[in-house]
Amino acid sequence: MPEILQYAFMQRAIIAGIIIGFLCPLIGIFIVLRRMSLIGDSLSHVALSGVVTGILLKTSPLIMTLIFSITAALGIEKLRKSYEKYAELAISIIMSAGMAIAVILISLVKSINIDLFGYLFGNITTVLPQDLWIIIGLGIIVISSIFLIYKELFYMSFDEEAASLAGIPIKAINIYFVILIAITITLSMRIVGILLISSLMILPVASSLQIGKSFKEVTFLSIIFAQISVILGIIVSYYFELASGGTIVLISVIILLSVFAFKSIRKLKNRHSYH
Amino acid sequence: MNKILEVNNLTFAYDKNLILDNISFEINEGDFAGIVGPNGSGKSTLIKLILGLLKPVKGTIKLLGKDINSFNEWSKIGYISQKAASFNTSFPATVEETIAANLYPQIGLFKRIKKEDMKKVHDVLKVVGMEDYSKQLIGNLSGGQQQKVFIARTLVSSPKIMFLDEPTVGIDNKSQENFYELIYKLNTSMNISIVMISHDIGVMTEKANKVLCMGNKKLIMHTNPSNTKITEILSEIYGDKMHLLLHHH
Ligand SMILES: Nc1ncnc2c1ncn2[C@@H]1O[C@H](COP(=O)(O)OP(=O)(O)OP(=O)(O)O)[C@@H](O)[C@H]1O
Ligand SMILES: [Mg+2]
Repeated sequence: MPEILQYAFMQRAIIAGIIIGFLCPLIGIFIVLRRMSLIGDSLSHVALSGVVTGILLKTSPLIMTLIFSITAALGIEKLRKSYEKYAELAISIIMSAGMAIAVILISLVKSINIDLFGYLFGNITTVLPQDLWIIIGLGIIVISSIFLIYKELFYMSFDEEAASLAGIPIKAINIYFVILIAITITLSMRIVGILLISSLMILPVASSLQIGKSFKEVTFLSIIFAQISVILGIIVSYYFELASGGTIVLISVIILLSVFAFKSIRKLKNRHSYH
Repeated sequence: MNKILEVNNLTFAYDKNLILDNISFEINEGDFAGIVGPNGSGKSTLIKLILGLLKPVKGTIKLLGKDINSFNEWSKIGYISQKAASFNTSFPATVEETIAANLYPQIGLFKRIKKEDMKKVHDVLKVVGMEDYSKQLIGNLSGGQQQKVFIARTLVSSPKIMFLDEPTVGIDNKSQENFYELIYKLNTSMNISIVMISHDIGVMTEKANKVLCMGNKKLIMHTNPSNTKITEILSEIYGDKMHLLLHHH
């Protein structure tokens, strides 16, 4: 066994990482295509207030965050109805509220503790055994949920009006979807960090959109890119003692740049072959 | 004759802005109806009311004999919207995936698409003459080809009636003719009733057996009008601007 896998905490980090490498792109693809990119940031700001509440009350920050972010997700859905023409306003309102609460709560925690930094930037050494079970359990539920409503989400993202006319229960699926986003953020924050989760939802999708030739292919590639980023990111951050979230996201950025480079080289080649 | 659509004493307003004032008409099985009227006369609004996307102030609408408030066979109703050609063209879906989507509600939540479903998809692609494009990204097709794919998407769930809102905007003349031929074929050989908003005098004179004329918040239905009658109607609506409008798109 390679040295890195001998530590129980590393085993836990990698298992959690693989689950997150499925969750983030699967959720992200629909977030990007529905032009809701801000929702990830919004819910992670709320997640921060959940974490701090957990720390203050000395209960599980994971459970607290789950409660906070799901409540916020439902709040966004509710608010969106009041601002039909400005859907992103609902997202911003919840983001501001989440951040304000977090800032106040942080000022109550007299000394900023190390733990909080771990949640903000990601820390592979902090996935506790009980956390891992929650990540595996809820992770599998979220992943299978997405596969079950995958075709409906696809149609809604493509053409909401047509989907609604065809009889797809838009409202119910919308609510279900935001809850899945909230759960994904909660499960990912230990490894990726609150500040960077939405990047891991968006970057792999951005890369695969450049080269995917069908929706299936885009989905498949997003997962591949996310898995590479997460697993490589965990390994690199272990050897160089870096914050895992930053490392993971930086690798996603490198993948995106490579995809762009690959595309322009291919274009140049094609141009030559016409002459 | 089977009545596919019945509209009775329909009144509609956006807030206080009255758009439709007590209009009535009906569409029978096999009808090819054209809706004409100046910009802003409420043509698109009327179709959205029929599809239940807007709620009337007064009056009733029946589709396939059922009041739309309790109607649930939406898969039998096809709709091609005015903005179909301007949808999110960078969406990463192939022609096949786009069309299969319309079968999803029938397949049901939590179930996967089957072989027979894909056969239906390929059959309708043949009908619209796009079978060679099934694996192409929808965004890489021309406007006219995209519009055909959207027709195929509604066809895949075997509609009884199709509503088309200026389906040929932004499509060149040759493809327009082609497109109208296709719609006519669906009407005559597959017995799909057609309700189409169009400013095209050619389609109205050659294909339509009903012309619904909108203006001043009212609707007048002409059944089997003669060609001279249609020309008369259109010039009345559009006046001297008729030629301008007809060659506008
Ligand atoms: N969402 C809306 N809110 C308020 N008023 C609207 C709305 N949509 C349309 N209207 C108004 O209703 C009237 C009818 O609009 P509609 O789109 O039905 O016209 P149309 O006959 O389809 O025109 P066109 O030929 O330009 O497509 C117009 O005066 C328009 O300004
Ligand atoms: Mg219109």
